[in-house]
Amino acid sequence: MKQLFLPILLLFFLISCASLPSVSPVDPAAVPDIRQTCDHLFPEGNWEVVHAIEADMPGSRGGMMIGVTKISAEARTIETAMMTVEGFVVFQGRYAGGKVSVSRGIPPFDSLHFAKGLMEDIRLVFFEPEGGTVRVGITENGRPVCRYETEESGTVDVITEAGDGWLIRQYEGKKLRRTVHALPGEGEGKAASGEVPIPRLLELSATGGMMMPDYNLTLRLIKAEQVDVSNE
Amino acid sequence: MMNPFTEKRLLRRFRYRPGVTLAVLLAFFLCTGWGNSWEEIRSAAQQIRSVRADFVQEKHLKILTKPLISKGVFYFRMPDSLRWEYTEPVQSILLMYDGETRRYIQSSGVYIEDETARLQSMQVVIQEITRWLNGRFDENPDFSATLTADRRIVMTPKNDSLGSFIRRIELQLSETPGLMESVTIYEGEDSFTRLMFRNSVLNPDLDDTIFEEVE
Repeated sequence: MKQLFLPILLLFFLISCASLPSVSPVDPAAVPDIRQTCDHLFPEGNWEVVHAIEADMPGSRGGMMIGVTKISAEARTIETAMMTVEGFVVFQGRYAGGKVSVSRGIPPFDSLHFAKGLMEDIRLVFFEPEGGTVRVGITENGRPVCRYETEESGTVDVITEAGDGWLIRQYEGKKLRRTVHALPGEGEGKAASGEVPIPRLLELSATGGMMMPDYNLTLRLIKAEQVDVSNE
Repeated sequence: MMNPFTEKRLLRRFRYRPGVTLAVLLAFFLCTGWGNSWEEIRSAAQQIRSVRADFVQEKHLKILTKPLISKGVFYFRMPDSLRWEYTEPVQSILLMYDGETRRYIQSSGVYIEDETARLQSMQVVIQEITRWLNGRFDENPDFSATLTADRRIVMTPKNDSLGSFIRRIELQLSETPGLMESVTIYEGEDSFTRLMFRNSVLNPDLDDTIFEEVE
């Protein structure tokens, strides 16, 4: 037992001492451009998006759902429904004013914990983190990065990749909770919605924590449409 | 069911054209010859050995500005073999053969088996579809079935717990005896799924591979 104790203790210290990835400073003249690039990765206005969602969880692979999401970037509201390919709605809920409400939930999609996690996933993908950037610079790999710190989402890094893709990393304290990899594709993602970056493909990895297992989601865009406020 | 007044007008119009009159009368006979009673429906279903049809699925949801359209094709062979295949916007195939149900989804151009627990609920749906195709609409212990005019069957859940998920199911029988025109599943008044069947072929020869193999 004593033999095991030391490595566990060491691991514990290593984890607690782990720090956020560094953001190295850049030429101050480059900061506005990087900041603007980060801003433009999040859609403005009101959107209706439909995705085919593939989920990978421990012990379960290959499930597909259809996700319908209506977002208002300015009001920061979300209405979403998850359904089977056959059209059976297993979850429907809303996020507004920082609160999550569920209007329909079929087990295992009926818990408030699931609803909150889902809304957090959607917020991370579509809403620019509140409060603005606290640091702008480059990553260890030399990619431009904007770091946000919010009460709502913790620390969020938005990193633009070579090509059209981008990465969003969310940290809870110093622990990586979620990673979103956005791939606009061969111009199709942007073409589907003009110049607005609703990516064709999104890959989301999340550590579920105490209440949920880790999961990976692949979201393929079926449809993205800008909608009127009157449709809200 | 055609009303008697319309029927008389039709007959008057075709009085001097015996061939057309005969055709109209024959069509009238065929249309009124099924779908008026559970017995007639069961009797028509007995003629079904297999069915192939295209389908269009409309998902209506309050948050959708336009219904979400899916398309596919289905094959059914007595007593319980089924292939339910979506071709767009996602590719998904459900196979039921020899008492086993499997579902596949296309991911990066390759079909992979869906191993999630949701398949259990799909099996219930599939059992229901095969029951309908056998003409046994009134045999589900969870639903009460009412046969209304114009060959419409309305199924309502018998208990509240099921009723909170499915308000009712409406089935519109086709003019062709034994076939269905559409199925509408109401989850709420502003949330429903409508399946419309097109290009139905009655009793085609369907090979086992259709129900056994994905491609």
